[in-house]
Amino acid sequence: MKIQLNGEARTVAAGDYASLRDAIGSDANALIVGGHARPWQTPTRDGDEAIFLDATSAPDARTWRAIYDARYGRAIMEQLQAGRVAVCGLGGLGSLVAIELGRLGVGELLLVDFDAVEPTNLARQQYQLRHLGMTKTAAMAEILAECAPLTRVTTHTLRLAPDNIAATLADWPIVCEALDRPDAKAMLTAELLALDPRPTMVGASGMAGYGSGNAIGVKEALPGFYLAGDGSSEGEEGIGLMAPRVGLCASAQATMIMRLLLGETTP
Amino acid sequence: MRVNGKNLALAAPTSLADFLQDADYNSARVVVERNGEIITAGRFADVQLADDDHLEIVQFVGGG
Repeated sequence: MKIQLNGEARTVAAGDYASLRDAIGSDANALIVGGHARPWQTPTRDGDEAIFLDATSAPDARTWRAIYDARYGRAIMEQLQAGRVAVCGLGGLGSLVAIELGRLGVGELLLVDFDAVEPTNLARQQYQLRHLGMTKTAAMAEILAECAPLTRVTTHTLRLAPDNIAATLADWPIVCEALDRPDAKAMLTAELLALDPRPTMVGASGMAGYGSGNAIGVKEALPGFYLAGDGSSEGEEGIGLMAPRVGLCASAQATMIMRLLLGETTP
Repeated sequence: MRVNGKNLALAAPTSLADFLQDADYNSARVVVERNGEIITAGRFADVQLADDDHLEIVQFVGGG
């Protein structure tokens, strides 16, 4: 029968992967079939995409790609790897959007934020103690280097304003608005939607507190401008931004971006 | 005039800036599309609304 092993076509006898491992003299300690971890006694099947690896160390780039291809299929991986997404703001929303798109295998991310990591951020942003004092761009680059093996990351440490938006974000077909101040959200969204060609935008408005998660949705607010959130729960004194509900909103944005990359245009 | 899908009578000629204020929008927090074209905030005072205009107004709240 014919299988793919570590990205290469191979003809093997019927049996299980344990005997194949012994037959080829591999010292791999982990088996992945179709993108999922499997025990060595798993029988080989025609058309399998199998990977032998050492589960205790980082695979090389080709093996990472084989893992993702086996899990999601080459067609989806090709679309995701062709994806180029700018994430503006690396706070409660942007830090999680970037991690989710990175883990997904999006090809390129541009990360923009002017700020540094400080202790109050940890309540809902993806940073850890070791990041305190680092710029959010540097901290996110480090995080993504550790969990997003297929993603090329570029960063800009700056505060977005009308005089730098076009230069910073031109050529990024999808832009995630993940800022926190409502005037900045409006400014960024208007400036980008006024560009020609205009990017597709995925923004957020309303995610504070501990109201129902069911109120967090996504709608197409204007053609090519998708808006996540509940539209009303403002993060301000007395109604805090809380990790689970902010995360729900961020994941709603990342889900919409994933859908756009895979050819879906409806929320 | 249509605003966010609803019909609205324009009593007198008015600028976009005045309309936003009268309708209780916070002009620093809105994105306005008029007849399919985005109007950036610097132009709100200059744009005169017409009775056959279609406006889409999205207002943001803070947090992220």
